[in-house]
Amino acid sequence: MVPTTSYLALSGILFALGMIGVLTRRTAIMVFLSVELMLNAANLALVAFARSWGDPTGQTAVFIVMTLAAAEVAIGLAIIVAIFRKRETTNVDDLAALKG
Amino acid sequence: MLQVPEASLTPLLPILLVLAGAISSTLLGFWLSRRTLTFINIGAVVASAVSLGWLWNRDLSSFGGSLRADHAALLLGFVILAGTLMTLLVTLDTAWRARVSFPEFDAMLMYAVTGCLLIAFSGDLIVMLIGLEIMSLSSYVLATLQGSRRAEESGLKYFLLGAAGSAVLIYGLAFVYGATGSLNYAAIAEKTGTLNPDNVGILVGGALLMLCGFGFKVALAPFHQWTPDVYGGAPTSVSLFLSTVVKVAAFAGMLRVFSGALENAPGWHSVLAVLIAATLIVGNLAALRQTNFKRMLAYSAVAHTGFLGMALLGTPAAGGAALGYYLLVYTLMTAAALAIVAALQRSEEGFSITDMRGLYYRHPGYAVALAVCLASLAGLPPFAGFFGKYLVFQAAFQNGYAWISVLAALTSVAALVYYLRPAMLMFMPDRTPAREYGLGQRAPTTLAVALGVAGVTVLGLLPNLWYAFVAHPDIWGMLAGR
Repeated sequence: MVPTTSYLALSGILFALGMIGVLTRRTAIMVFLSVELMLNAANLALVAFARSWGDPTGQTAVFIVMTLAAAEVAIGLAIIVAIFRKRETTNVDDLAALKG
Repeated sequence: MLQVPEASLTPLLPILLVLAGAISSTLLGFWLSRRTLTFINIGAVVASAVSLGWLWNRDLSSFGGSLRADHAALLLGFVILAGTLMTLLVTLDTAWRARVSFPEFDAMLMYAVTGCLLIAFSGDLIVMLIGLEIMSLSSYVLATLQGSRRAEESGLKYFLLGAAGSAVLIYGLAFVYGATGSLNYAAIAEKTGTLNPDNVGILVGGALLMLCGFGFKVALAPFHQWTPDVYGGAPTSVSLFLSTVVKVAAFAGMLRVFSGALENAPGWHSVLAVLIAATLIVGNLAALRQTNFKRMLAYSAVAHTGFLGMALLGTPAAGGAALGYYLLVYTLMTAAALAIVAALQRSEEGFSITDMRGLYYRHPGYAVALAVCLASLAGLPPFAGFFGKYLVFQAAFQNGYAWISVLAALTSVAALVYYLRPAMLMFMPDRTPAREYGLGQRAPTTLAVALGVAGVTVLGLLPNLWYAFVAHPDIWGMLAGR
């Protein structure tokens, strides 16, 4: 049986990759994908902890997080598409009208 | 063996009423005008507030304690509904000028309020998370809905940073669950006292990740970067909603999670203190060098996050009471100030501070009201902002965070400068033509402004009208439930 710490290590790596993606990627879609990676890291951690506690609550929480992620995709892609239609770019560096 | 929890909908009543308003806006939008729907929603908000009063002292809960209509929930719910009412009144006048006068706007607004109330009523982390996401997702749409380049930019920034913040928060939630084996506030609070040492590290990590996630939502520095862009770029009535109702709800979540469930968890107090110190310095100093009034108010909202957050450093009894009082006052004064900006601005960018010169001679009522709001935001004595600041300073000071109180007092002095400069400019005579929208003074906005100004004045002179409710000793001791 795979120990819980291995799952947690993998989840930590996924989360770190997602975080690096959010901080370094310059395309809105890639930033968004990185956020999804972070959410899945959290899901993996929840499932691993649920197994180690022998408690189904954590697994039900994963379903809810997945639903939230799906809703977030719907909203996020709508915003990104709305911007792309007007500007033909989703590079976040081009969105710099607001500052100060 | 799994038990079927009792699924009573009575404690949900205030949330269901707001949700009914949201659904009616979604469905009836095909037939009715937006203005009619706004009146329906105002009715729903008032009915919801009445149902809060009806639930008072009943201390109901349902779904096995996942949803709790305790005193804390009802008080925070009232603050949320007060902010919503003011937002709806302001949008009656300004939505058509902001080009957001369509039913979907009201629907999104009311869905967001549903989420906000769900956070205040939450009894476990999952319900809190669902509420938080309903609120955040609706707010992203609200910020973008205008469809102008500025609004779209603010919406995308809000969405990307907000989604990253949510992901960090959910990761923290997973670790808190991993350390305690439960998602229920009461069970977490019970187990944090008797953890085995291996799990303490996981708990501290989870608590700090959740703190960062909430930091994004309430705009604690260094997670505040989106705030001025979003509040400045979104239509002013939306900024009003985001900087009052949404922030109150995020603080309600922090209060539930940190002062309730994680009260005995080690570590997060000192990190929160450092974040608050950074917020106070960054927010107040950045506000000093703003030339646009709306953007200055956005930085003032960041600075106030620091002041409000100080309440969480106090003991739950003192801090909860201080936060409960200050949140209502903050909502009233910020909403009234932004309502005046929404009414008088020519474009959704707001107006620059120098354009406010001589405002008193053109719109005497609004100028005096704005001066009262600014004085209250600055924390000058007869107004309620002073008492709110005093309470949060005291809560932090008594719990051993004297240095934060001193720093907050020092930055308040800097705040005096940027709040009082526009207030003084308004009363200086000016011969140049008016640069604000001449027809902005309309009845519903005036009503919202009057509510805010009367609120900060009356609560400043007679603080016990509201403080007597929030300072009741047993309210904040059982934020996590029993």
